[in-house]
Amino acid sequence: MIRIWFPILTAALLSVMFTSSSGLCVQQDEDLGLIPDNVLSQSAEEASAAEPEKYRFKVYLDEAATANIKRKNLAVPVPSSNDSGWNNRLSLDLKAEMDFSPNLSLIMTDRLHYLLEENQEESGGRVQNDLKEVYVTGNSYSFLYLDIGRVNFKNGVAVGFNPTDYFKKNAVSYRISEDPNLLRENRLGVLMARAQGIWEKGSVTLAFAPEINQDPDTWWTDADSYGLRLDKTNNNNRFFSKITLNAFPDFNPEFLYFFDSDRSNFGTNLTKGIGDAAIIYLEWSGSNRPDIFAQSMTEAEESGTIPHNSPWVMDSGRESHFQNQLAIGFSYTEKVNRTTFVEYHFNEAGFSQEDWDKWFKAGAEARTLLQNPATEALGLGMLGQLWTTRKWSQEAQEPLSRHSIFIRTFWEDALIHSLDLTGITRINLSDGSFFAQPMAEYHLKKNLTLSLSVNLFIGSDETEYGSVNPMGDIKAGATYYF
Amino acid sequence: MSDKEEFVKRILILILIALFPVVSNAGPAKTADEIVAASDAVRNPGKPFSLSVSLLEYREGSVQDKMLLTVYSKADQNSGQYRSLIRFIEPPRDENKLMLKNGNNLWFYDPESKSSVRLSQQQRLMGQASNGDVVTVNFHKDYKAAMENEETITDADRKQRKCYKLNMQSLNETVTYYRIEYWVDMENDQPVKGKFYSESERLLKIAYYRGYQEELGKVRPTEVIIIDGVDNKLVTKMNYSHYRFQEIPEDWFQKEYLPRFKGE
Repeated sequence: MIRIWFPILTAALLSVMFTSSSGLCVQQDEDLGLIPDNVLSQSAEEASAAEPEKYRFKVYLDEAATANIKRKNLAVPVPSSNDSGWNNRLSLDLKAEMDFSPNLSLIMTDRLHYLLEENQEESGGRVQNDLKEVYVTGNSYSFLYLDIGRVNFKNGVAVGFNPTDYFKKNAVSYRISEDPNLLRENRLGVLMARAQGIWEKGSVTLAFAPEINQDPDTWWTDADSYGLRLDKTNNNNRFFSKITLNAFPDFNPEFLYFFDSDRSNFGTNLTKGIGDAAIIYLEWSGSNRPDIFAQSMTEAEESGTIPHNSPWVMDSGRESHFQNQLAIGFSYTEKVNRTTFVEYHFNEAGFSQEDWDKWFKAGAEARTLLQNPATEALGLGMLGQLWTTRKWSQEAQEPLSRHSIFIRTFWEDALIHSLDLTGITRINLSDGSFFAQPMAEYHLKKNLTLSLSVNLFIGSDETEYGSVNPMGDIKAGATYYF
Repeated sequence: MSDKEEFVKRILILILIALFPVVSNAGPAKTADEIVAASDAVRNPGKPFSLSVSLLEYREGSVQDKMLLTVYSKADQNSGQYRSLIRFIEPPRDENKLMLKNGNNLWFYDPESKSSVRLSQQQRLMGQASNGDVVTVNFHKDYKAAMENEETITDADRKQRKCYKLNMQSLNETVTYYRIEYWVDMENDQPVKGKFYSESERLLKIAYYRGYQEELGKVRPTEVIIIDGVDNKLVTKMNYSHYRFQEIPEDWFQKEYLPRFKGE
């Protein structure tokens, strides 16, 4: 009996030996068959070594042709309307960095535009140069940095509206798009002295931007082709400070203080990751300030755009009180590499629906006054005030309406390889009107990108986006990187 | 000797034979986590370093995209996990853009708009390669490994390799992959192959490590071939070159430093 069982037990034990952890099994690896032979045989493409470069340049050419879609009926006419049906922009963008020593560098970014519009063909268009940045940056004690010159200094964690981006006002010299990302690429820096200490546990930033003499027609204020327009970017003495804390894992709050025009601003930036696909964020700023209409009127009076002591067409309090600005939102990335940002924007100083009703009512009165030659000038003055406010909010880069929603979706390699799709929407939560911008970019070659975008301002006549002319545009562009 | 005694004797001999391979591997056997740590040391130098990475994306064997990057990595003294700063070299439209990974914080900096945007781990900046594929990662810090068995598998050079097959489960929800099947060469702790899964057990990627050569004092892989788990006609080849030890200041891993980075 035992003799019968022995070989069976032996076979069982040996079988255990060669299949359990002490043994080795041989696997035919089918996964290898998924790798094409040429992938395995092709020699490696060597990346460049990380060697320090003393001079660094980046140059690209950006062409955009735009056809405007005109709006037939405007509830509130624009007093000096540009009725151009199309325009063309060709821009040469240059960024140069030069190291004088390991701790001292010069940074310069410049964009030269050639602009042509319908009805300007005979004059041959115009040239506009934007010296976006030119500053010297130095480093000492390994953690301390000092920058002096025209610096493009951006703050904030939100995408569609940045309450803490305190140097954004009047910084966009030429509005190339409604996409906040592209607007940031085309913005002028502010003349400032900035000191920054960066440590493992955080950083401290201090900056002072002086008021520049506002004399017109000087080389630093000239708004024509080659003027620096420092009067726009440096129209007040301003002080900025920021503390960033890196003391907590996955949570690096920022606290900001900004002083401008006798007014203190306080702000914060917070971000937090949720799982592996989502980020939530909050950007807040608060200050004592008047409502947006009063502020735009006061500044227009100071600059002489509208006469002093002329009656304001909207009943708006000139008094300042503490008002909040907030951008709160989240981003979510799907498996197909499509990332969507959804933000709620709150601008307490902005228009409520009641303010919009007043704005349209004043516009209707002005329209009536235009019918009579005796009152036409008065009507034009009223329209000037109404549109000054809208222009002010655009230049200040803050929402004109109190409550709005912003959505931005970016889909890389969408549908086909090298095709990127972007969709942007801003929705006025009071009247339901909205702005929408679908955009497609195709990377034809590694240094050539083609783009096509449509801007649409949709809404009924007496709504924020339904009262804009043109009602939209179609833009075709190409960017070539040298 | 009775039949019964003979039987017991034979059984004892068989048990000894069965135990022989274990006994003959004198010294304590490595745990699964120790094997992962040892294979991490093969992939990653112990000191701060930089290297150049080229990514070639193939569809059905044809190159459809190419990227060049420089990666600067340094381990955090507290967590032991690497922090990485990645500078984009090519294509030209992405030149000098930066990606920073410090713990669970992932930031993308665009020098054109001067803005930093926080990214989720899921968001890819490099075609089909995930951020987690490009940054330096010590797997043993983020995963708990279990020994599955020992297998002889064919590596990407069509050579037979005796491997530990490990099953690695993520320890936190912010990692790129929820579970990894990982094959590590029994002789030298070199990673040979990995299969990467999502939380829903979907196969996301298959990676083969190859091109082993001496870099920074150790034989390390200089090429990783990644097969897309969903669309397996899509293959990405990552080549590592220009390894060098480099002093990397702590402030390089702060978001505030990104606008100041000069590409040293």
